[in-house]
Amino acid sequence: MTPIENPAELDIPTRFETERMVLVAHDLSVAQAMNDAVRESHAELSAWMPWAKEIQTIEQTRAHIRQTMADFILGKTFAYSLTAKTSGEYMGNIGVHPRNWSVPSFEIGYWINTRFAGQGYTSEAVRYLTDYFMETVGAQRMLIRCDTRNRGSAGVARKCGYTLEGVHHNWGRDNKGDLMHMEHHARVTRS
Amino acid sequence: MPPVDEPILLDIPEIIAETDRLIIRAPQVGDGVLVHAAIVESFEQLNRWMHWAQRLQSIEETERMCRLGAAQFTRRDDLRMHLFERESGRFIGSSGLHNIDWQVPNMEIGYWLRTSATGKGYVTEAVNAITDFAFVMLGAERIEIRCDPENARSVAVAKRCSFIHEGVLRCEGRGPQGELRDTSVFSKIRKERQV
Repeated sequence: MTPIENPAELDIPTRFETERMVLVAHDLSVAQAMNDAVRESHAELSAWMPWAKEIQTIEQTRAHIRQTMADFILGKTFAYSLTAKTSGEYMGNIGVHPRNWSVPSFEIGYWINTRFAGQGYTSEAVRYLTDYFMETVGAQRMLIRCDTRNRGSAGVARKCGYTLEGVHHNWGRDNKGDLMHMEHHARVTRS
Repeated sequence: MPPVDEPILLDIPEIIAETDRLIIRAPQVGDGVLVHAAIVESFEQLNRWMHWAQRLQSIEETERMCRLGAAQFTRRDDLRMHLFERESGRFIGSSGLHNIDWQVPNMEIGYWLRTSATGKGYVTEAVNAITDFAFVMLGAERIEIRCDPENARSVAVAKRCSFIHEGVLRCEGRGPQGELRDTSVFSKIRKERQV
Protein backbone atom coordinates (compact mmCIF):
# COMPACT_ATOMS: atom_id res chain seq x y z
CA MET A 1 0.00 0.00 0.00
CA THR A 2 0.98 3.60 -0.40
CA PRO A 3 1.03 6.77 1.69
CA ILE A 4 -2.33 8.36 2.54
CA GLU A 5 -2.37 11.82 0.99
CA ASN A 6 -5.61 13.20 2.42
CA PRO A 7 -6.42 11.74 5.85
CA ALA A 8 -9.47 13.99 6.26
CA GLU A 9 -11.08 12.23 3.28
CA LEU A 10 -10.89 8.79 4.90
CA ASP A 11 -14.16 7.21 5.95
CA ILE A 12 -13.34 5.37 9.14
CA PRO A 13 -16.41 3.62 10.59
CA THR A 14 -17.80 4.99 13.84
CA ARG A 15 -19.05 1.57 14.91
CA PHE A 16 -17.56 -1.92 14.92
CA GLU A 17 -18.98 -5.18 16.22
CA THR A 18 -16.67 -7.81 17.62
CA GLU A 19 -17.67 -11.14 19.12
CA ARG A 20 -18.63 -9.80 22.55
CA MET A 21 -18.53 -6.02 22.14
CA VAL A 22 -19.65 -3.02 20.19
CA LEU A 23 -17.04 -0.33 19.62
CA VAL A 24 -18.69 3.07 19.26
CA ALA A 25 -17.02 6.38 18.47
CA HIS A 26 -17.31 8.55 21.58
CA ASP A 27 -20.22 10.91 22.10
CA LEU A 28 -21.41 12.75 25.18
CA SER A 29 -23.89 10.03 26.12
CA VAL A 30 -21.01 7.98 27.61
CA ALA A 31 -19.59 10.86 29.68
CA GLN A 32 -20.98 9.75 33.05
CA ALA A 33 -20.16 6.08 32.50
CA MET A 34 -16.62 6.95 31.40
CA ASN A 35 -16.08 9.23 34.37
CA ASP A 36 -17.38 6.53 36.75
CA ALA A 37 -15.09 3.92 35.16
CA VAL A 38 -12.05 6.18 35.45
CA ARG A 39 -12.84 6.69 39.14
CA GLU A 40 -13.34 2.97 39.75
CA SER A 41 -10.05 2.12 38.04
CA HIS A 42 -8.05 5.10 39.21
CA ALA A 43 -5.46 3.07 41.11
CA GLU A 44 -4.55 1.08 37.98
CA LEU A 45 -4.88 3.94 35.49
CA SER A 46 -2.82 6.43 37.47
CA ALA A 47 0.12 4.02 37.45
CA TRP A 48 0.44 4.22 33.64
CA MET A 49 -1.61 7.03 32.12
CA PRO A 50 -0.35 10.61 32.22
CA TRP A 51 -3.95 11.88 31.92
CA ALA A 52 -5.04 9.86 34.96
CA LYS A 53 -2.68 11.44 37.47
CA GLU A 54 -5.59 13.33 39.06
CA ILE A 55 -9.18 12.12 39.16
CA GLN A 56 -11.15 13.87 36.42
CA THR A 57 -14.23 15.95 37.04
CA ILE A 58 -17.27 15.22 34.88
CA GLU A 59 -16.65 18.53 33.10
CA GLN A 60 -13.14 17.40 32.17
CA THR A 61 -14.49 14.12 30.87
CA ARG A 62 -17.09 15.96 28.78
CA ALA A 63 -14.46 18.31 27.39
CA HIS A 64 -12.21 15.35 26.58
CA ILE A 65 -15.05 13.62 24.71
CA ARG A 66 -15.81 16.77 22.69
CA GLN A 67 -12.15 16.95 21.75
CA THR A 68 -12.07 13.30 20.65
CA MET A 69 -15.23 13.85 18.57
CA ALA A 70 -13.53 16.73 16.75
CA ASP A 71 -10.32 14.73 16.38
CA PHE A 72 -12.26 11.85 14.82
CA ILE A 73 -13.69 14.15 12.14
CA LEU A 74 -10.26 15.64 11.47
CA GLY A 75 -8.60 12.23 11.27
CA LYS A 76 -6.31 13.03 14.20
CA THR A 77 -7.38 10.13 16.36
CA PHE A 78 -10.11 7.50 16.20
CA ALA A 79 -11.41 6.86 19.72
CA TYR A 80 -14.10 4.34 20.63
CA SER A 81 -15.97 3.23 23.71
CA LEU A 82 -15.88 -0.47 24.42
CA THR A 83 -19.39 -1.57 25.30
CA ALA A 84 -20.66 -5.03 26.21
CA LYS A 85 -22.85 -6.40 23.44
CA THR A 86 -25.38 -8.05 25.69
CA SER A 87 -25.80 -5.44 28.45
CA GLY A 88 -24.70 -2.33 26.56
CA GLU A 89 -22.53 -1.48 29.56
CA TYR A 90 -19.58 0.86 29.03
CA MET A 91 -16.28 -0.97 29.70
CA GLY A 92 -13.36 1.18 28.57
CA ASN A 93 -11.69 3.02 25.72
CA ILE A 94 -9.63 2.19 22.69
CA GLY A 95 -8.05 4.75 20.38
CA VAL A 96 -6.20 4.50 17.09
CA HIS A 97 -3.72 7.35 16.68
CA PRO A 98 -2.19 8.11 13.27
CA ARG A 99 1.59 8.32 13.68
CA ASN A 100 2.86 8.76 10.15
CA TRP A 101 0.47 9.09 7.21
CA SER A 102 3.27 8.63 4.71
CA VAL A 103 3.86 5.03 5.91
CA PRO A 104 0.95 4.87 7.01
CA SER A 105 1.41 3.85 10.64
CA PHE A 106 -0.91 3.96 13.65
CA GLU A 107 -0.56 3.51 17.37
CA ILE A 108 -3.25 1.81 19.45
CA GLY A 109 -3.91 2.84 23.04
CA TYR A 110 -6.44 1.29 25.40
CA TRP A 111 -7.67 0.86 28.94
CA ILE A 112 -10.50 -1.09 30.47
CA ASN A 113 -12.36 -0.74 33.73
CA THR A 114 -10.57 -2.97 36.26
CA ARG A 115 -13.83 -4.85 36.78
CA PHE A 116 -13.63 -6.21 33.21
CA ALA A 117 -9.89 -6.87 33.11
CA GLY A 118 -8.45 -10.34 32.56
CA GLN A 119 -11.25 -11.60 30.32
CA GLY A 120 -9.67 -10.87 26.96
CA TYR A 121 -11.90 -7.92 26.08
CA THR A 122 -9.05 -5.54 25.33
CA SER A 123 -7.28 -8.11 23.17
CA GLU A 124 -10.50 -8.73 21.27
CA ALA A 125 -10.82 -5.04 20.45
CA VAL A 126 -7.12 -4.54 19.66
CA ARG A 127 -7.06 -7.56 17.37
CA TYR A 128 -10.16 -6.35 15.55
CA LEU A 129 -8.95 -2.79 14.99
CA THR A 130 -5.44 -3.90 14.08
CA ASP A 131 -6.81 -6.17 11.38
CA TYR A 132 -9.19 -3.49 10.16
CA PHE A 133 -6.51 -0.82 9.86
CA MET A 134 -4.04 -3.17 8.18
CA GLU A 135 -6.48 -4.78 5.78
CA THR A 136 -8.83 -1.93 4.96
CA VAL A 137 -7.07 1.35 5.70
CA GLY A 138 -3.70 0.18 4.38
CA ALA A 139 -1.62 0.49 7.55
CA GLN A 140 1.92 -0.82 7.05
CA ARG A 141 2.79 -0.58 10.71
CA MET A 142 0.71 -0.80 13.90
CA LEU A 143 2.35 0.18 17.17
CA ILE A 144 1.64 -0.44 20.84
CA ARG A 145 3.86 1.21 23.43
CA CYS A 146 3.85 0.57 27.16
CA ASP A 147 5.88 0.99 30.32
CA THR A 148 8.09 -2.08 30.88
CA ARG A 149 6.32 -2.61 34.22
CA ASN A 150 2.86 -2.69 32.65
CA ARG A 151 2.73 -6.42 32.00
CA GLY A 152 -1.01 -6.38 31.34
CA SER A 153 -0.58 -4.05 28.40
CA ALA A 154 2.43 -5.97 27.06
CA GLY A 155 0.36 -9.16 27.31
CA VAL A 156 -2.36 -7.66 25.13
CA ALA A 157 0.21 -6.72 22.50
CA ARG A 158 1.71 -10.20 22.50
CA LYS A 159 -1.68 -11.92 22.32
CA CYS A 160 -2.58 -9.77 19.31
CA GLY A 161 0.47 -10.85 17.33
CA TYR A 162 2.64 -7.83 18.02
CA THR A 163 6.42 -8.30 18.23
CA LEU A 164 8.57 -6.57 20.83
CA GLU A 165 10.99 -4.50 18.75
CA GLY A 166 12.94 -2.86 21.53
CA VAL A 167 12.98 -1.17 24.91
CA HIS A 168 13.86 2.52 25.07
CA HIS A 169 15.63 3.02 28.38
CA ASN A 170 14.97 6.19 30.40
CA TRP A 171 12.49 7.19 27.72
CA GLY A 172 10.20 9.17 30.01
CA ARG A 173 8.85 9.73 33.50
CA ASP A 174 5.83 8.17 35.15
CA ASN A 175 3.22 10.06 37.17
CA LYS A 176 5.43 9.90 40.27
CA GLY A 177 8.29 11.51 38.36
CA ASP A 178 10.37 8.32 38.25
CA LEU A 179 12.21 7.37 35.08
CA MET A 180 10.53 4.67 33.03
CA HIS A 181 11.49 2.46 30.10
CA MET A 182 9.23 2.20 27.07
CA GLU A 183 8.51 -1.03 25.21
CA HIS A 184 7.78 -0.79 21.47
CA HIS A 185 5.58 -3.56 20.11
CA ALA A 186 4.62 -3.56 16.45
CA ARG A 187 2.90 -5.46 13.69
CA VAL A 188 3.97 -4.75 10.14
CA THR A 189 2.68 -5.97 6.80
CA ARG A 190 6.14 -7.02 5.65
CA SER A 191 7.10 -10.40 7.07
CA MET B 1 19.05 14.38 37.29
CA PRO B 2 15.67 16.08 37.70
CA PRO B 3 13.49 17.38 34.85
CA VAL B 4 14.39 20.80 33.45
CA ASP B 5 11.28 22.92 33.92
CA GLU B 6 12.58 26.13 32.34
CA PRO B 7 15.14 25.19 29.70
CA ILE B 8 15.12 28.75 28.35
CA LEU B 9 16.88 29.81 31.55
CA LEU B 10 19.65 27.23 31.20
CA ASP B 11 23.03 28.84 30.66
CA ILE B 12 24.71 27.07 27.79
CA PRO B 13 27.97 28.41 26.36
CA GLU B 14 28.02 29.26 22.64
CA ILE B 15 31.09 27.05 22.32
CA ILE B 16 29.91 23.61 23.38
CA ALA B 17 33.27 21.89 23.28
CA GLU B 18 36.83 22.11 22.07
CA THR B 19 38.18 18.66 21.39
CA ASP B 20 41.60 17.59 20.12
CA ARG B 21 40.74 18.51 16.56
CA LEU B 22 37.35 20.23 16.63
CA ILE B 23 35.52 23.30 17.79
CA ILE B 24 31.80 22.69 18.31
CA ARG B 25 29.57 25.73 18.59
CA ALA B 26 26.00 26.99 18.19
CA PRO B 27 24.94 28.14 14.70
CA GLN B 28 25.40 31.84 14.01
CA VAL B 29 24.01 34.43 11.66
CA GLY B 30 26.29 34.36 8.63
CA ASP B 31 27.11 30.62 8.78
CA GLY B 32 24.91 29.99 5.74
CA VAL B 33 27.61 30.51 3.15
CA LEU B 34 29.95 28.04 4.89
CA VAL B 35 27.28 25.40 5.36
CA HIS B 36 26.02 25.83 1.81
CA ALA B 37 29.44 25.14 0.30
CA ALA B 38 29.66 21.95 2.37
CA ILE B 39 26.20 20.84 1.23
CA VAL B 40 27.09 21.44 -2.43
CA GLU B 41 30.25 19.39 -2.05
CA SER B 42 28.42 16.52 -0.29
CA PHE B 43 25.08 16.64 -2.07
CA GLU B 44 25.23 13.14 -3.55
CA GLN B 45 25.93 11.52 -0.16
CA LEU B 46 23.42 13.66 1.75
CA ASN B 47 20.76 13.07 -0.86
CA ARG B 48 20.86 9.33 -0.17
CA TRP B 49 19.85 9.62 3.51
CA MET B 50 18.57 13.09 4.37
CA HIS B 51 15.02 14.28 3.74
CA TRP B 52 16.19 17.89 3.71
CA ALA B 53 18.66 17.19 0.92
CA GLN B 54 16.26 16.09 -1.79
CA ARG B 55 16.98 19.20 -3.78
CA LEU B 56 19.88 21.58 -3.57
CA GLN B 57 19.10 24.57 -1.35
CA SER B 58 19.99 28.12 -2.29
CA ILE B 59 22.49 30.02 -0.14
CA GLU B 60 19.60 32.11 1.16
CA GLU B 61 17.69 29.02 2.28
CA THR B 62 20.74 27.67 4.07
CA GLU B 63 21.29 31.01 5.79
CA ARG B 64 17.65 31.01 6.85
CA MET B 65 18.12 27.54 8.38
CA CYS B 66 21.22 28.75 10.24
CA ARG B 67 19.34 31.72 11.67
CA LEU B 68 16.43 29.51 12.65
CA GLY B 69 18.97 27.16 14.26
CA ALA B 70 20.52 30.05 16.18
CA ALA B 71 17.10 31.18 17.42
CA GLN B 72 16.04 27.66 18.43
CA PHE B 73 19.36 27.23 20.22
CA THR B 74 18.76 30.44 22.16
CA ARG B 75 15.29 29.24 23.16
CA ARG B 76 16.70 25.77 24.00
CA ASP B 77 14.06 24.24 21.74
CA ASP B 78 16.62 22.44 19.61
CA LEU B 79 20.39 22.53 19.90
CA ARG B 80 21.87 22.40 16.45
CA MET B 81 25.67 22.66 16.44
CA HIS B 82 28.29 23.44 13.81
CA LEU B 83 31.61 21.61 13.66
CA PHE B 84 34.86 23.32 12.70
CA GLU B 85 38.30 21.87 12.16
CA ARG B 86 40.47 23.48 14.82
CA GLU B 87 43.64 23.75 12.79
CA SER B 88 42.13 25.19 9.61
CA GLY B 89 38.99 26.83 10.97
CA ARG B 90 37.08 25.12 8.18
CA PHE B 91 33.37 24.22 8.61
CA ILE B 92 33.27 20.42 8.37
CA GLY B 93 29.73 19.45 9.29
CA SER B 94 26.75 19.70 11.55
CA SER B 95 25.54 17.87 14.61
CA GLY B 96 23.36 18.69 17.57
CA LEU B 97 20.72 17.59 20.06
CA HIS B 98 17.19 17.32 18.73
CA ASN B 99 13.71 16.16 19.76
CA ILE B 100 14.47 17.22 23.29
CA ASP B 101 12.07 16.20 26.05
CA TRP B 102 13.30 18.37 28.91
CA GLN B 103 11.00 16.60 31.35
CA VAL B 104 13.27 13.54 31.29
CA PRO B 105 15.65 14.99 29.86
CA ASN B 106 15.85 12.79 26.79
CA MET B 107 17.25 13.85 23.41
CA GLU B 108 18.50 12.63 20.07
CA ILE B 109 21.91 13.32 18.58
CA GLY B 110 22.21 13.77 14.82
CA TYR B 111 25.15 14.41 12.52
CA TRP B 112 26.46 14.80 8.99
CA LEU B 113 29.92 15.57 7.67
CA ARG B 114 31.10 17.18 4.46
CA THR B 115 32.50 14.54 2.13
CA SER B 116 36.05 15.88 2.17
CA ALA B 117 36.18 15.57 5.97
CA THR B 118 34.96 11.96 6.27
CA GLY B 119 37.05 8.98 7.29
CA LYS B 120 39.02 10.83 9.95
CA GLY B 121 36.91 10.00 12.99
CA TYR B 122 35.60 13.55 13.31
CA VAL B 123 31.98 12.49 13.88
CA THR B 124 33.02 10.05 16.60
CA GLU B 125 35.00 12.84 18.25
CA ALA B 126 32.04 15.22 18.02
CA VAL B 127 29.44 12.71 19.23
CA ASN B 128 31.59 11.79 22.24
CA ALA B 129 32.05 15.45 23.16
CA ILE B 130 28.38 16.36 22.67
CA THR B 131 27.28 13.29 24.63
CA ASP B 132 29.49 14.31 27.57
CA PHE B 133 28.13 17.84 27.32
CA ALA B 134 24.53 16.57 27.39
CA PHE B 135 25.09 14.37 30.44
CA VAL B 136 27.10 16.93 32.40
CA MET B 137 25.66 20.31 31.39
CA LEU B 138 22.08 19.40 30.49
CA GLY B 139 21.50 16.59 32.99
CA ALA B 140 20.43 14.22 30.21
CA GLU B 141 19.12 10.84 31.35
CA ARG B 142 19.02 9.40 27.84
CA ILE B 143 20.62 10.24 24.51
CA GLU B 144 19.65 8.36 21.41
CA ILE B 145 20.90 7.89 17.89
CA ARG B 146 18.37 6.94 15.23
CA CYS B 147 19.36 5.88 11.75
CA ASP B 148 18.48 3.71 8.83
CA PRO B 149 20.06 0.28 9.52
CA GLU B 150 21.32 0.39 5.94
CA ASN B 151 23.31 3.54 6.67
CA ALA B 152 26.40 1.57 7.65
CA ARG B 153 28.57 4.59 8.41
CA SER B 154 26.00 6.06 10.77
CA VAL B 155 25.54 2.70 12.50
CA ALA B 156 29.33 2.48 12.87
CA VAL B 157 29.43 5.86 14.64
CA ALA B 158 26.82 4.71 17.16
CA LYS B 159 28.76 1.54 17.88
CA ARG B 160 32.14 3.28 18.04
CA CYS B 161 30.72 5.71 20.59
CA SER B 162 29.47 2.74 22.69
CA PHE B 163 25.78 3.43 22.23
CA ILE B 164 23.65 0.36 22.95
CA HIS B 165 21.46 -1.02 20.17
CA GLU B 166 17.92 -1.12 21.56
CA GLY B 167 16.08 -2.41 18.54
CA VAL B 168 14.90 -1.95 14.99
CA LEU B 169 11.55 -0.23 14.48
CA ARG B 170 10.23 -1.82 11.30
CA CYS B 171 8.57 0.25 8.56
CA GLU B 172 8.91 3.24 10.83
CA GLY B 173 9.13 5.80 8.06
CA ARG B 174 9.83 6.36 4.42
CA GLY B 175 13.23 7.15 3.01
CA PRO B 176 13.89 10.20 0.88
CA GLN B 177 13.05 8.20 -2.25
CA GLY B 178 9.70 7.09 -0.81
CA GLU B 179 10.64 3.52 0.08
CA LEU B 180 9.54 2.05 3.43
CA ARG B 181 12.42 2.24 5.84
CA ASP B 182 13.32 0.73 9.21
CA THR B 183 14.84 2.76 12.03
CA SER B 184 17.61 1.48 14.27
CA VAL B 185 17.58 2.99 17.75
CA PHE B 186 20.74 3.23 19.84
CA SER B 187 20.99 4.86 23.24
CA LYS B 188 23.22 5.85 26.08
CA ILE B 189 21.80 6.45 29.55
CA ARG B 190 23.36 8.12 32.59
CA LYS B 191 26.25 6.09 33.91
CA GLU B 192 24.98 5.76 37.45
CA ARG B 193 21.76 4.23 36.13
CA GLN B 194 23.41 1.71 33.86
CA VAL B 195 22.77 -1.86 34.94
